[in-house]
Amino acid sequence: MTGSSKLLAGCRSKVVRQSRRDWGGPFRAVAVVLALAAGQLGLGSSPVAAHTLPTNTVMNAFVKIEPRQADLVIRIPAVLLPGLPFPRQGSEYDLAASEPVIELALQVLADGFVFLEDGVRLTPVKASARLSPSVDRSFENYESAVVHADEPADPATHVSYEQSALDVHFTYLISSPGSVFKIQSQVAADLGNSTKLLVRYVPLAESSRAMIITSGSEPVSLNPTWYEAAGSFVELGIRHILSGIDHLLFLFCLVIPFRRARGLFSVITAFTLAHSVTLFASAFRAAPKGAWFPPFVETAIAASILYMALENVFGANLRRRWLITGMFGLVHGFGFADVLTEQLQFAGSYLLVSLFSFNVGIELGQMLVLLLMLPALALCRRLVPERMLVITLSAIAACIASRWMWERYQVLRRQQWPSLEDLFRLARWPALLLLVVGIASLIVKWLRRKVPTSSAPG
Amino acid sequence: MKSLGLILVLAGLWWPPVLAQGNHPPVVSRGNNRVSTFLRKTLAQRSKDITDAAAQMPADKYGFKAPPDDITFGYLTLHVADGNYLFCSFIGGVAAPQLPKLSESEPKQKLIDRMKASFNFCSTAFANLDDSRMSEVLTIGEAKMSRSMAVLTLAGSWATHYDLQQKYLQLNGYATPTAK
Repeated sequence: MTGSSKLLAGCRSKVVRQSRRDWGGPFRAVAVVLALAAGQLGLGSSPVAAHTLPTNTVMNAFVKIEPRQADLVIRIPAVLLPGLPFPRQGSEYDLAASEPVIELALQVLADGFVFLEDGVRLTPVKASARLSPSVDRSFENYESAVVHADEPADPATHVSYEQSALDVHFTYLISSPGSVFKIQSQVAADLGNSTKLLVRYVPLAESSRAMIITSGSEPVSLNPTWYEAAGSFVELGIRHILSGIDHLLFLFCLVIPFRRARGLFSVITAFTLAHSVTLFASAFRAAPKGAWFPPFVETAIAASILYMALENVFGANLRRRWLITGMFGLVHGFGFADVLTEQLQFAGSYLLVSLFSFNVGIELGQMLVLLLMLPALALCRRLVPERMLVITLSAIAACIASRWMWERYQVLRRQQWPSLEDLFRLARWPALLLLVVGIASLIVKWLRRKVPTSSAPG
Repeated sequence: MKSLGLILVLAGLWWPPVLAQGNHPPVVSRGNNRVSTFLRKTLAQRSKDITDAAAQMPADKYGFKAPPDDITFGYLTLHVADGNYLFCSFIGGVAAPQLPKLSESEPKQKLIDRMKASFNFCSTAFANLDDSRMSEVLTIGEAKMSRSMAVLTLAGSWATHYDLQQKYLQLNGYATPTAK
């Protein structure tokens, strides 16, 4: 962290602390997105209020695309705008005297929310804002949010400055509803990852989508083209595998005993196929739910590394390694899905393309790592006796993995145990793999019996 | 001829958004210098409030800290100065002076002098500021924000830090000028 970043982080630390306490990680974020989507479909009454998210660092927004205009309506908790000097009367805002500050707020926020059409920044042609009490429920849907934001606040309304929000409505003229629209929030960007903008994007001819954007991040595409979605998910996959030290260590343990790349083919294929299955399944919400599952997956990933390392130390059966690798691949797939499910909100209407691209990114990253690992291991084999090398490297990996496993288990044991239904859901995956393997081996055996081998001796 | 065609096609790609924006003047007017005027006015008020509050706290209480903030009053004073140099430098487009690093345990007067100097630096940096470049994006630390959002962030930090000063003073039995 740089000095200036520390300084920024130090500012308004109270708000950050609040958010760190309540923000439950990507899985919770995904739950909110799903809840928002459900709310959009009329399945929930108050999407945000129904969750334990820190409402003081979360902004709620709608982006509605019309044939000639786009409307952005946002509710910003007032705690995120301490610099705006709204006049106060006791513990409440003086709404009758707040107009000059509202005008200042509109001017600043027109810069604070960047709205782009095909890469061109648009400036609002119409803007309105008002202060509201946080308990106001107008932001449950787009129509009531717009009506509310455009209506001047009744001066008699009691708006406590500790429980209030600024509701803003910007209108932009657009050239086509089919353009690519991007949005960026700079509000409270000094709070780092803590400030989120929950956007419900309402396109003209498609179903609406919800996404969570971090304030201060780069502009996010609300309706990416297929190639934009594919490109960003390939990049995400590569970055994820390269930064996933546990996945890399597993890969390392897999390849340590192999002297030739040819022998690795079945192992890597099994790992790839297996993690692809659970990755896709997670994206379609077939993975077990519950707070226990992410730490369970993390612990299981550490256990998989430990197992592979110990197998290397005590003598691995390399011919059958592909089978156990496939089993562990299922677990790693759930691990990859952790980051993917959080990011799928940015896939627009290209869910399958993005999923496939993410997997391609994972494989490319994996190949890149193997291209570095295999020659390095070959070089080491020239310097150190092979068995000693395998044992030493595997023992180091085992030490690291056992520590991870213990740390992750400590997190896991604090979770509520899964229900029988969750356990059944989980058991289906190894069962599926075993079924596939069983059927495949039966077919192979049947083929061997049917087709006599031509490579008879002599 | 082909080049001309290419130029026309490329120009055509830019035409719709330009037209859409061109027919309607943006609602946000920069001519009134509302943001820069607000900044200078807030600076004048907050520099006085914050400096007065720092002067009011007795020297032996500069090591006082109150949970959950866990920072001493001395640290807070220094933190205000550091924030001023950082933000005012970016907002005003003026390089901040290279100053020796101070510790929060330095004598009270030294910390106050550093804070006063930082407010003076802000005044100088903002002297010729207008709203014409308020939408320009600045990278401050790891955060990217427009100049006008940086103004809002700085004003917000003054408000937050002044509230904290008031809290610290009240916890020690003192009333700040505005609290009186």
